Amino acid sequence: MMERKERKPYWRHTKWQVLTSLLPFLLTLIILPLYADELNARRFMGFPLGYFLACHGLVLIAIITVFSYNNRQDAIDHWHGAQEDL
Amino acid sequence: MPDRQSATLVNPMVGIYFGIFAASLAAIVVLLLIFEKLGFAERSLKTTMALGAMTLFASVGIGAYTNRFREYANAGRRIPAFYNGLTLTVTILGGAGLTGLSGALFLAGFDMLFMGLGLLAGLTAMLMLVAPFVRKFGVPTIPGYLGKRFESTPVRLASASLAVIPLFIFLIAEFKIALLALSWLVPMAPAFAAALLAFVLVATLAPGGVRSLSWSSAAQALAVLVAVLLPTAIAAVLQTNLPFGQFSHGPTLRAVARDEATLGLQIPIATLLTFEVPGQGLQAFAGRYTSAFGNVGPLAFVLGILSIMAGVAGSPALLARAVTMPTVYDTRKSIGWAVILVGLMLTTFSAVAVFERHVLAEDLLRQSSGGAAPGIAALVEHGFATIATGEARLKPGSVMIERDATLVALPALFALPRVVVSLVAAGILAAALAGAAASLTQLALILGEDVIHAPQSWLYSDNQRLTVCRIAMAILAAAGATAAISVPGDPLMLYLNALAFSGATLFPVLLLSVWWKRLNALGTLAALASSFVVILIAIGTTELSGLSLPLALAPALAAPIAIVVGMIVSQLTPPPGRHILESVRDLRVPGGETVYDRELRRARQRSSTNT
Repeated sequence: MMERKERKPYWRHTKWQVLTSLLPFLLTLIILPLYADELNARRFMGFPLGYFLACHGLVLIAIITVFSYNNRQDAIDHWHGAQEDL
Repeated sequence: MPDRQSATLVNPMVGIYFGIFAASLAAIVVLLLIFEKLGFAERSLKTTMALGAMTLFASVGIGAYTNRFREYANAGRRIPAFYNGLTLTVTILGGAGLTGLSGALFLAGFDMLFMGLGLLAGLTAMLMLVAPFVRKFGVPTIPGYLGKRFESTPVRLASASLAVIPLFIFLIAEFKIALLALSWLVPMAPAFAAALLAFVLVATLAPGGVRSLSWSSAAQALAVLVAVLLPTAIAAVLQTNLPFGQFSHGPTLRAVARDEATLGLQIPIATLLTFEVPGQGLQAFAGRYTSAFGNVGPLAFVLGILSIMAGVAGSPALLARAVTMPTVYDTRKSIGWAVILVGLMLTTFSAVAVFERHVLAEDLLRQSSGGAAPGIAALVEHGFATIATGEARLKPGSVMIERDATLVALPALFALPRVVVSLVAAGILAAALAGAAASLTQLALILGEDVIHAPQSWLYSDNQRLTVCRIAMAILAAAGATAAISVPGDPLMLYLNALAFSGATLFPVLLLSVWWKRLNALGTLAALASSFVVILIAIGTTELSGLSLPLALAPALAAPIAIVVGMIVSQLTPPPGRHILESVRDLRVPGGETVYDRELRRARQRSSTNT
C-alpha cells in the first residue's frame, strides 16, 4: 500500500512519463504523413518510403510507445509502492 | 511484459473453451469446403455459414449467463488482458470500421490512412490519459463514473444524455453493416433480417450482459481475424510468394503505381480542409494509391487523426471495457494487445487494397489490348461491382465497385472457393454484431443504472436491476433495428460521426476529471454544454467563419473549447469539496480498493447501521 506522502511524487513521475511517451508519438503521427509525397521518391522493401512510414512505420511506433509506456509506468508504480496487491 | 498473479483470478478453462470454439468454427468452414466440392447448392452453404456462425456466437453469450448484477455489469472483473484486447479490437472497428476503412483505403488510397492512424492514436491516448483511472474508479458506465466523480446528479444525467447519442448512432451503423453482410449470405426481406439480428443480439447479451458481451465479442474477434487474415495470406502467396502480405506487398505496390500511370489515373490536389471520404455504394477508384492529399487536405488529415483520437479515447463503449479487467495493470496490457491487433488490421487493409488494385488494373490493361478481364467478371458475377454498358474498352471510371464489399471481394478476385467468400462475409457479420453488442450493452446499463435506478441503485435487488437492463436491451435492440432499415445514412459516416460526438463531448471532461482536480460539477456541465453547442453548429451549418467544418472533424475544435470553458467556469465557482478531492487522489493510484467498491461498502454499512 502506498504511503500518503508518496502520492505527490508518484503523480509527478506519472505526469512526466505520460508527457514523454505521448507527446513525441503524437508529433510523429501528425508531422510524418505531411511529408509523405516527398518521401515517396525513395523506396524501402519495395514500398514508397512515405507510404511505408505512414502505414507500417507509425503502427510500429505506436506498438513500441505503448509497450515501453506500460513497462515504465509499471516500474513507477512499483518504485512508489502504488502497485496493486493481489 | 511480466505476468501477474491476476491470472489466477481468471477461469483456467478459458483457453480450452476458446479452443473448442475455434475448432467448431474451423470444422464448419472445412465441412462447407468439402460440401462445395461435392456440388451442394451454394445457397444452402451460405445459409449454413450464416446460421452456424450466429449460433456459435449466441451459444457463447448464453453460456456466460449470470443472475448476479456484479457479473452482469463488469463481468466480475475477471477478463484476461489478451481476450479484452481482442474485444477492444473488434469493438473499435466494428463492422462499419472494418468495411468502411478497408473500402475507403482501396478507393482513395493514402488519404484514408487518417482513420487507421486516428484509431491507433485514440487507443494510445485512452491508455495513457483515461482508461486506467476509469478502471481504478470501478463504475461500470461512463456517465456513472462522471456522476460519482463529481457527486452530481445533473452531471450524471447530462453525460448520460450525451453518451446515449454516439452509442445509438454506432448501433445503427452496425445494424446497417450486419444487414448488408447478411444479405450477401442469406437474401431475405430487410425487415425480417433486422428482426433476426435484433433477436440474435438480445439472445446473446441478455443472459449475461457485459459477461456475455466480453466472451462472445472475443469469439467474434477470433472469427474476424480468421476471415480477414486467411484470404489475405492466400492472396499474398499468389501475388508475392510470401504469406505475410502485410509486409511484402511493396513490389506489388510498385507494379500498381506503374499500371495507374499507364491507365492515366489523375493525381487530384486538395485544399487544406478538403474532406472527401468515399461514399457508400458503387464507386470507381479514381486517384493514385500512394499520392497524398488528393481527397483529404493536409489540415483535414491532421484534424481527422486528432478527432478520431478524441472519439476513441472518450468512447463510452470502449472505456467500459476497462472496468472488466482484474487490475489497472491488466487494463494497460489489454490496450497494448489492441494496438497490436488494430495495427495488424490496418496493414492488412493496405495489403488487401494493393492486391485488389493490382488485379483490377492488370485486368483493365489486358482488356484494353483485347484480352479477358477475369477479376472484374468475378466481381460482377458476385454482385460486388458493375461495369458501364456500351463501352468497347473499359476504363478505370467505368468499373464501379461496392465500397463496403472490398474485403469480401478479395477471395472472389483471386477465384478462391465460394465458401471463403462466405467466410469473409460471416467475419464482417461477426464484427458488426460485436460492435452493435458493445453499444447495446452500454445503452441498457446507462438506462438502468444511471437513469432509472440512480443514484442509489444498490438499494434495489439484483433481480430488479437485471430485469430492467434486460428489458431495456430488448427495447433498444428493436429500436436500433427499426432505425437501421428506416433511417438513411452511410455506415462509415455514421461511425465517424459517432466518434466525433464522443470525442467532442465526453473526452474533454473525462480528461479533465483525471488530470485537473480543480474541475467541479458546474465546470463539467459548462464543458459538456459548450462542446454540444459546437457540435450543433457543425451539424446545422457546415460553414463556420468561412471554413467548412465537417461533423467528423468537429472534436478538433469542440474539445479545446470545452476544456477552456470547463476550466474558466470551475475557476469562477467554488472548488470541489474535500471528499471529492480525496477520491480524485485515490483514482490516480492503481493500488487499493476501487473507489466505487469502497463507496458501495460504506453506503451499505451506513444503511445497515441505520436499520
